[in-house]
Amino acid sequence: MESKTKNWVSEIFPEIIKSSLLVYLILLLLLIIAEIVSPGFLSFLHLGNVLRQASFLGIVAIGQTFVILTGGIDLSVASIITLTNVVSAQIMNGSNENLLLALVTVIAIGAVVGLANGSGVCFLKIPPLVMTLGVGSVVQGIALVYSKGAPKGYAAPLIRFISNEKIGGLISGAVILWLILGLLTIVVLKYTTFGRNVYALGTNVIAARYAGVNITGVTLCTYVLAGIMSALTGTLLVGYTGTSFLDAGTTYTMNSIAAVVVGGTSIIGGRGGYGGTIAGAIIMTIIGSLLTIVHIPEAGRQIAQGLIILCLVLIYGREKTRG
Amino acid sequence: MKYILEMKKINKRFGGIQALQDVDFSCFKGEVHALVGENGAGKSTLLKILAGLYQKDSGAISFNGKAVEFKNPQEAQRAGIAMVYQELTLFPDMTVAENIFLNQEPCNRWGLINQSEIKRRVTELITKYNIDLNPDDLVGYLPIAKQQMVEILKILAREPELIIFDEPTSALAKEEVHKLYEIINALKKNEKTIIFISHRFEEVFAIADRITVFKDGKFVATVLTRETNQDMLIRLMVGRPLKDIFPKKLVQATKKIIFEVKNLNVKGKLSDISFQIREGEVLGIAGLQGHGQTELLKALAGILPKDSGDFFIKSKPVSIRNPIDAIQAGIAFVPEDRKTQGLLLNLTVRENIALKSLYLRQILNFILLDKEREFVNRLIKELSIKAHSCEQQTVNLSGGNQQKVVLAKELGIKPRVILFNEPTRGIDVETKQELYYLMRQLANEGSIVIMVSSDLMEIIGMSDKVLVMYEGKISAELTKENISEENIMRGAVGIA
Ligand SMILES: Nc1ncnc2c1ncn2[C@@H]1O[C@H](COP(=O)(O)OP(=O)(O)OP(=O)(O)O)[C@@H](O)[C@H]1O
Ligand SMILES: [Mg+2]
Repeated sequence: MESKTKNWVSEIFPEIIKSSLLVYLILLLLLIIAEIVSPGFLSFLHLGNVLRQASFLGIVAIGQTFVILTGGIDLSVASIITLTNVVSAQIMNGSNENLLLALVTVIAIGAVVGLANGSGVCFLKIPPLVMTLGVGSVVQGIALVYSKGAPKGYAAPLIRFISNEKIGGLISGAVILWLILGLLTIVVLKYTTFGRNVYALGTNVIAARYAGVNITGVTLCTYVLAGIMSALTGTLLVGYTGTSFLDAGTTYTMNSIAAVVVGGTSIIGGRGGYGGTIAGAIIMTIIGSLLTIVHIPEAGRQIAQGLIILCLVLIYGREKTRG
Repeated sequence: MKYILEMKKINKRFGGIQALQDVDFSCFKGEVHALVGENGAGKSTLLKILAGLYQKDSGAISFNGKAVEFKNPQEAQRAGIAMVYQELTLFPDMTVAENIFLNQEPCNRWGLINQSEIKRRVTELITKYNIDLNPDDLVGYLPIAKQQMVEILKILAREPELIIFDEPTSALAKEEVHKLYEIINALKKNEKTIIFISHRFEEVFAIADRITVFKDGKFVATVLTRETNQDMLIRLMVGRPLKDIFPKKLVQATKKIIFEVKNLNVKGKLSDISFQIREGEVLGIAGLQGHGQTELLKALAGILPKDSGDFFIKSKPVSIRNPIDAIQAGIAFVPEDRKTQGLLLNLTVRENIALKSLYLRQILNFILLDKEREFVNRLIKELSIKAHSCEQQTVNLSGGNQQKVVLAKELGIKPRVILFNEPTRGIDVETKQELYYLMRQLANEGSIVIMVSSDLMEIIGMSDKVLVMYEGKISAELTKENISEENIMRGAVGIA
């Protein structure tokens, strides 16, 4: 076992860099641009803020990476985040004692919604795009009904600490959680039978089925994972803002997909990995914050953001298909 | 006679591999020229260079007396060179007619696609070459052999001067192969030049005027078909004569029955299939394409759900409802189409070979990578798969080597039963021989070997027992001296 851990550690990091060198270069470039546009961007304080925000997106994007690698897509993550945001705030109601209950509840919610998504895709053969869009709409509706349009409750001190407080001025608890989950994801994708099957499924369903890959099991797992990761983010966001909102999750569907794709994972599945998504999540966060800093109005921000994503994917997509 | 095509000193490197080295190749106008050689010899690479799909590193090409340099397939097509690829390039959701005229649709004066004109021209093509196709059928629903014909028509619609076929018959049934011969003869009458790659000798001798042999990326010889024979070709290809392509059959089957199928039924596909295999026997399944052979294998492999029927391995009943059950029971299945059913083309050779037997090398779902590499490298060596390394993308292997990767993946589960569907499609004669000996060895060691093949020589050469299928039923069961071309054909048309 000893030699194996060493084996992994020495393999994982070069692997991340090698398979997603380009996206890390883009990240570096973006940081330089950010520093030029807004001097002080590269300060410890600011980078800490960027990382803190990226962690929420990064965690959602874990689930999205799994789903997209199998050839699916999850458009319901935004609604799951919103629902779990509202529910967990109400259960916590400002007290650490309720935190565990809140966590268990939202994880269950995430899992159930994911299971619904996966079942629709596997058993009813509904295309993922349609299925998750529909489920997302239902879940958003439930959030509305549950909160009666006016979300109540506020963050428990512990979750507020985890999401907000930066240990050593740079790393928040949420970032540490992201780091741990992210590394686990990379290990699972690369070193487990489950991970291998995810790629197999996304590359060629028929060949995968013939080779004994449990298509239904793997698909269900990825959607459930996506649901749970969204639920985690939903809860962490309560800590970040202190309370809950009915549009807490809105931007996360588009941004998580963008993070995955900018990170070099093929939108049709089978190629890529989480190593790139990490950079993708940071890039998406930086773009968002940069556009806020330079005082572009909301409409302009959205347009600029869309165009930047398209450019990145174009640069990256070109590179990938050539191989 | 004058050369229409001359390729001189062509070189091409892929990473560490010299795929072509100072290769010369020329064709006369109006001839049928066969290109043969072992898997990975560089045949496809040379012709892909000619068709503009790959760029040569150095060398010169002249076509119709002019020096040419094709940067992409469109340029080659404009010059009159077209290639029918080893891989199908059709769009499954479009009709036969739409596929054939894709990107060269005739337009009306408003610039809109003229559907009736397309249909008229496709019908004209279909009748001209006398092919059994309906212009309105969706390509995705056609069997692979028919799709291959569409692929060929698509090329002919452009009326090229020189037509390249890369293993056109590997996916065709006997009837379609003959159709293809007719098409080639018709083209030849029209002074078109044809180059084709093939691993099937009977076909090379049936239609080629001249034959060029490659070995390890080098030109070996060009010979006149009428001045050569199979043994000589093999010697040129392999570098030495090959004796006894097929291993010795069983002298006398034992009494011991090791595999049995009772009353297998799949609605509309298979009815009342029962048979037994004795220890050491290789079972061949023959018949015309589409009479249930593939379905039978799929039912045994758990891919096609059965309505009724029982399987017994060594007298013990095995319950198989899906591919996972089949693997657990030790049943391996080599599917007929490696691209769509066998391989994960974008993934590495290692990931492909390991895929089916991951469960053998894991602890708590964690893959034991060292073991995996060792396992994969051992199979690569055993089957002599030509790849830069086990980390090469499968899509970049030569066709025959891809087939070996599929085989390696199946052998990885240490199967008790191996179902082969067209196992030698696209593999060279030496590898064929190795595979036949491997099958025999597996049978001798107590594995159950079942092979579906449309190659009669292969069925006759390998099988101790032959089942012939007709309309989803077994129409003849042949053993020993009864295994003959005539008896098989009688069964295949249902008059046994
Ligand atoms: N795109 C590519 N990238 C890397 N290597 C390649 C590529 N295409 C071919 N090769 C390598 O070049 C060599 C020649 O391949 P080629 O496909 O020309 O063989 P072939 O003679 O057509 O064999 P087969 O009969 O198996 O189809 C092989 O070693 C193959 O792995
Ligand atoms: Mg080839």
